[in-house]
Amino acid sequence: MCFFHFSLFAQLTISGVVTDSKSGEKLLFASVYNEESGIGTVTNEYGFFSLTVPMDTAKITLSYLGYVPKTFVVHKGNIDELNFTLNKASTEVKTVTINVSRSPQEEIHKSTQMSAVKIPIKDIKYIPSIGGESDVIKVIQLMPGVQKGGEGGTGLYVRGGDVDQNLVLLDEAPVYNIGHLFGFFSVFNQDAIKDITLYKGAFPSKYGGRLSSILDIRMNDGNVNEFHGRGGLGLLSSRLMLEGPIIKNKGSFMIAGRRTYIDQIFKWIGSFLPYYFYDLNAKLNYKINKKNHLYVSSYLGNDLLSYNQSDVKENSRFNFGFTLGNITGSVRWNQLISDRLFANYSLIYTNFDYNINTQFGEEYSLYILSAINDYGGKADWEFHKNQNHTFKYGAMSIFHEFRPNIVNSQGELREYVESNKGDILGALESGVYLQHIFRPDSSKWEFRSGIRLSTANVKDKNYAGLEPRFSTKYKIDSNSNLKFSYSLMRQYMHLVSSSTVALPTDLWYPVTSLVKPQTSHQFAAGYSYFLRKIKTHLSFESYYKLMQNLTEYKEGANLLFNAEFETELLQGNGESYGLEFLVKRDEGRWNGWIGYTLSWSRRFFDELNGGNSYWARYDRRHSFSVVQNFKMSKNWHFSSVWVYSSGSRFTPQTGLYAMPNASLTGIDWIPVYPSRNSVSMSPSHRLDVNFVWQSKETKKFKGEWHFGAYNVYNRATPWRIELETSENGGFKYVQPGLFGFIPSIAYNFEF
Amino acid sequence: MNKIIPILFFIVSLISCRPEPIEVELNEYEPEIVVASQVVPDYIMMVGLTRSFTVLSNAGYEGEGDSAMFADLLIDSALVTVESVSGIDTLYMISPGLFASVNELENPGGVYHLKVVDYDLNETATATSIMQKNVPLDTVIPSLHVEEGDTSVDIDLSFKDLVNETNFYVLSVYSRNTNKGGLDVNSFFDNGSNNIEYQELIEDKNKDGEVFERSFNLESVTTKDSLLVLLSNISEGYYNFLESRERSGNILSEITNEPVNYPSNVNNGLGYFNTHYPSIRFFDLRELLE
Repeated sequence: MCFFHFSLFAQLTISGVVTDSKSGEKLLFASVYNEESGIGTVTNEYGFFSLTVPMDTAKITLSYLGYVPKTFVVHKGNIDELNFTLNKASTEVKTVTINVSRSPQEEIHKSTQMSAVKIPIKDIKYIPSIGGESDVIKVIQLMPGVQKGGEGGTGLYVRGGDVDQNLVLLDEAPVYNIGHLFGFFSVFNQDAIKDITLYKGAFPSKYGGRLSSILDIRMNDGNVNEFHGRGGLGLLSSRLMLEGPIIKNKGSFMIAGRRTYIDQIFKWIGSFLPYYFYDLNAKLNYKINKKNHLYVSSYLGNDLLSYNQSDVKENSRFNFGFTLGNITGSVRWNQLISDRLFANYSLIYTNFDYNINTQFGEEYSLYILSAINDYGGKADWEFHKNQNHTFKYGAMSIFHEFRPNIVNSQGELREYVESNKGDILGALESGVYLQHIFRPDSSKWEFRSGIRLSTANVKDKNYAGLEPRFSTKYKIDSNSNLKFSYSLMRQYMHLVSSSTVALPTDLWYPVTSLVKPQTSHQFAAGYSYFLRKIKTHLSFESYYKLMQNLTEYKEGANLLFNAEFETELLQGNGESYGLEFLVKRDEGRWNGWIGYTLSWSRRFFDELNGGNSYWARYDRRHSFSVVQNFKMSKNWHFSSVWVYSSGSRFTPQTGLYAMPNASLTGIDWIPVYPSRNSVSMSPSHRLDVNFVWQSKETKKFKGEWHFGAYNVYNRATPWRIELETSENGGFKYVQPGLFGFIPSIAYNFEF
Repeated sequence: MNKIIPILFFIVSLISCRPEPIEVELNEYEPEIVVASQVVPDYIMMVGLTRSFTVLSNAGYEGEGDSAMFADLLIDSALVTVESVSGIDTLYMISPGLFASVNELENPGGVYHLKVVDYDLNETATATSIMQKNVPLDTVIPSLHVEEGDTSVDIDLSFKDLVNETNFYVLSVYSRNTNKGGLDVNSFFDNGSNNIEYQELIEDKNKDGEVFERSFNLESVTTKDSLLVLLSNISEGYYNFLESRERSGNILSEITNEPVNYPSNVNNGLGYFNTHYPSIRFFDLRELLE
């Protein structure tokens, strides 16, 4: 679909949606470029673009990574014949056409956007992982500026921020829990995903609500022309994605599911492991007419653990049940109001909850439930005034309904754990924004400025604040740019999690009249260089982030069964700064990236660590990653990941002393700790490899075997601290690794 | 096919390895002087002195209840002095780990400087404490209830907060079976049988100069007990120290709560040197029966 506009000043406006020629899938962030004028743009998150050039006939080139670029001449007379579709490039080794397509990273290089990473989904497909199951979040953890939590976990610590400062959006719906199996697997099924963008800074004005990062994940729309499927069989889980037309060229569906079967394997050998997880992604899309398009998408995922001693007498029976999961839903309506004005309207819903049900015999039981429900709506407009000015504006509002901690205890447990009905807490978070992109004629400068007004209405308190955003690009020459950005972000909710008990019982909690919103000011400066000959992008970035009203917990705070979190929370400040280096090649027979991060992250809380500043828990000084994909031959593909990371920090108990107890007739033993987070765990490094053998491809079927190994040289990546008996009869702290050398085999297929 | 995956899973499990844990390199723990103190009204000041020890040694941690191990921690070779406007008072050792002043050191508002020279550790610790003004208990009314063998006591009490100053209080009620000779707050480290029946930390935030009233019930007493009600006006630092102890008070909290780093006013040491002057009321429950 396309629109055409011709003015007296020989101006041509071309707009439309770029799609895959076979599947009809929208291609996000595809390049649309006019070489004569040097003016170009990229498609937005919905595949739409609008390009105005100062001529009445223009040669336009469409390109997208992995697709054959397409060039055509546009003039007033051929507007109805234009077809903005691209053909997938052949996967043959000898194919050279893909070398001239433009990669998403190149688009970031050319724009004012900095501190962002786009990860082609094809990169994720071959990157080695535990059990042969590719993982979106694990790949993001390999990017500079992104630190992981413990080994195997899906926690993200971006540019010295905390784990709750990342907004993860799946088709615009927030996802609160991004990990299955206590965080070892991400909830995102690679077959259901088509695009991933991570913003670590220079945040576009449309995003808000978190301090440190926005992870925007888009699901496949579904093939509007043909029925297709994709899936995989692994040792831990299997998955299947099906897509096809509902009405050819008008509407399609996509449905993807995944389930682990460790429970079934244990059952098969007569043993017992009562745990599994599953998730489902589904999407419908329907083209109402040339100007209107409707999308409905949903995600449902759950972790389930159920242990029942049905063969034990009722009075001594121990039963334990645990479920944790997300549900998201979004309805989106894309509207092309004119050839220069695009709109998207969304309704979103998210639910995250967990419940724990424990029973000891007939008398003692404990039931804990926590939930959050979000109901929201948003509208975004994008107005391409001309080649110099683009405006983006919109509004959003989301109502968060929190049920932080419902506890029901019976028997003697009541003495320790009070029952609590868990009052519903409501918070209305809203925002309006305006963003202007200005590209002066014949200038080396390009500017993006924006402002966002965000508000939060909670019981007895209303918060509001402006969030200015600014970024600029100075083009040094055709290959290199200097960039600078500033972003102010506000966050109106935070995570309450215990640092002593490793349970996935994290609670989200809104700001209140006492707990103020968190804010961050982030400055970033960078240099990026594009090596056109080898299609490789280099970037250096430095950043400084000042964070205010961060939350921590009082020493001795009880968070696990406590409904009155407010009284246990402390607020203070933090700062982080660092340097990031990235060399990334998205295409070619040999591609991948090298990332390095040098960073510092400190916290300042008057009531903690004697008022002295201290390092953040995941302050890791150096992080280094080398990720490579190499197409060895027509059938063989080799990938590897090597990562090095300084250890995270912790506070070990080092001593004990005696003090008279409260009754003055005995003693209490009191632990001694050094300064908070003063001890670093050991650095970790690990090599993972993956060999892929592609069986003979037919027109209807393609299969590939993955033979991988995680942690090839079996080195422990410390994930927690344990106290164990030492050789001299005393004790020592050790850092066990969770996973050693683990081979894997998996089979993936497409039809 | 449904057998292949389990078989492969177990082959992989067999081949997989568990990496050797890496030892954490920690600086060697240096024992520190630990201070505890108590002023006994109209009597003396007592200072308890022990040493901290590493949790990594084989002489502690799991053997916390070991009395021989505890005896090794008591400081028995030290010079302990308390300096105030009255001069420097050298405390004498009553028993290992327990030092007492010869002179009365009860001067509300007075500044006391403690200095401990541990000859064994070859370390010196110092601390300063200001004795807070005494705040009297205005009323303390115990009501004894004996029903079908169950005994309980209701306590109603009140005191008036000091005006125009920020105050922190600790209110405590001790019980002791009077057959054993009555309550004895002097015996810090004795294996006596004082029980703490009630303890509350109170601050006068937004209630400056107001009358504080408390009513509570004590259930685990017997008619043979005596009760001691103490109200102490304490420093903010000591209040924080006691609050830290309260926060890590039971087994569940030790497991589930955030770790507590106890505050201390001891330079080059641990513990807390405090010089509060409590108001005391004593009740013999046998008398309430009559």
